[in-house]
Amino acid sequence: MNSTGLDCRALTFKRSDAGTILRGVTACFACGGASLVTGLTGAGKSTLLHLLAGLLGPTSGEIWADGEPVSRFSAPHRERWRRRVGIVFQHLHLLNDVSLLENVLVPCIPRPDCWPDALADGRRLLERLGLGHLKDAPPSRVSGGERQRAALARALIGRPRFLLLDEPSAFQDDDQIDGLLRLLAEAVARHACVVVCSHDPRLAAAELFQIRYRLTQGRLEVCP
Amino acid sequence: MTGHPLVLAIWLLDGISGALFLFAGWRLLAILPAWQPTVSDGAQLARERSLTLVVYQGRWIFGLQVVALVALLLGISNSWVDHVPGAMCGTGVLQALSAAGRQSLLLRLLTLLLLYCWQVVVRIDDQRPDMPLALIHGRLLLLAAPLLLLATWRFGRAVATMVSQGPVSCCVALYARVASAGGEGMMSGITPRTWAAGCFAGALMIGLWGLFQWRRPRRFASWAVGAAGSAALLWIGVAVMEVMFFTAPYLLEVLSHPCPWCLLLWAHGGVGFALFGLLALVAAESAAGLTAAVIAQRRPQLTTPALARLAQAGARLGLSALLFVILAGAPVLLWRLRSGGWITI
Repeated sequence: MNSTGLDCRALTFKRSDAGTILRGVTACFACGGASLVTGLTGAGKSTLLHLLAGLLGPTSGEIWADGEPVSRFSAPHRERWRRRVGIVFQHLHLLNDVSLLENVLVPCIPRPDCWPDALADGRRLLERLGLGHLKDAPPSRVSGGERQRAALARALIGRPRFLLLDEPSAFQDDDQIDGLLRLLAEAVARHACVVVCSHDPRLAAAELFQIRYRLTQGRLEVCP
Repeated sequence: MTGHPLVLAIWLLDGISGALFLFAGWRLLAILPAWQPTVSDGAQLARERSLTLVVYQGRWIFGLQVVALVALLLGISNSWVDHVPGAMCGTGVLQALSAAGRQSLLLRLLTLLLLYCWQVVVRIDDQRPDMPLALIHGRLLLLAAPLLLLATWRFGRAVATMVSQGPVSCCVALYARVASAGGEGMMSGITPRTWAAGCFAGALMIGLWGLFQWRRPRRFASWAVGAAGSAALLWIGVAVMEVMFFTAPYLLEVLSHPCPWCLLLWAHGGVGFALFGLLALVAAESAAGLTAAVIAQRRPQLTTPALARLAQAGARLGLSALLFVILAGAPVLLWRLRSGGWITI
């Protein structure tokens, strides 16, 4: 079983205060493809994304990445593996005391391979997302949509193998969504594994996503 | 005496270590019989999380026990000397602590050696994400528990004995033993110079062995590393004799005073801590090298990290022996340069 991409096997996640959030989720998010996970608010989309990113450990079941059981890795190995993941959090988690460009460069700190071109890549990504003129501004001085695009640039820096996005279009207009989809298509073209969790109908209509899942009552089902 | 800060500190450290061992042991007894690395159900994942916690607890126990041993050594060698009538150094204090004190000291050394080997196994295991040595290091940690319990119990007995102890004869006892063994050396016929020659030649061999082990770890089978470890332990015995009969006169500036505890007195700069500490490092790295060599031989998936640890053990072994020779030889040479003669025959 050495498939590439993220492979969820009978994934269950329980919280003592919120009960069972995911029940035996089995799915394969292949590299070189984009998957969309939809579901109602509170269905567990963010939890699934955090599990895929190695930020949470499953209660039972496993996540395999490129043929390795990453969810069962010990902490130091999991942290090293996480360097291959780019993530846009639903609540963005930008650092308010530094500029947008510096925020974008944060994932490069533990990744020496990322450094040689990091500054140029960071500026290029901000330009492409229409934030070139705001690169020195702190996140508190820009709009919600601009902050979200900066978080997207931060996820894309260093060309991560696994790209996980949580509601990436929540504050974007239609033009910006086209730009977002183009960036995701480029990631897919370089054989990254892209997983997007969203309930935005504009993303649901995009042709980029070959597989669409729906998360209902903790179970993940493929949408026709 | 029972209220002395160092005694209380050792009680406290032993108490915390014991409590941590209780939690870790309890968890290990639940984890080890049910360990199933091929299964990914909730129970096994909980066991894996538990084992990670046990490893952290084990590291704390090791650290606390190192501090407890240092506190015990400081107490015996310096702090408790004034509390024992007739004592001038650790020899007198150990007499007052009776056999239980010596047993506690020995048991603590054994516990730390075992925990050091446990650390080596854990560190090598950490190099693989799937914890292939989980069962082995879990059992090793469990093995250390009774040793620590015994050490604590013997320490309690020793302190209780010390309270009711009358005056001791301190180093006089050593003179009597030396006299009965034939004078200059503990073993009749062996002069201080012979001890020194044996020690320096042995250190050279250990240094060379360490160098080869560091540069070419792949060439060493576990039996060879084991044999070298045994030789190193033998050398430690020779080195202790060398310190007592050859170097000590230059440090203490007394012709024949073969007392290792006097070297730990602050009055003499506590130089014994460095000398015997380096010997302890030789023992620890010999054990670490053997542990790594056995893992390299028996676990092919861990050969690379185990060989790296074997090489590291070789480097530390050689360096410790070399530093010991410098530290033990420097006072002798300095004396010779200052006075133009030798003390020892």
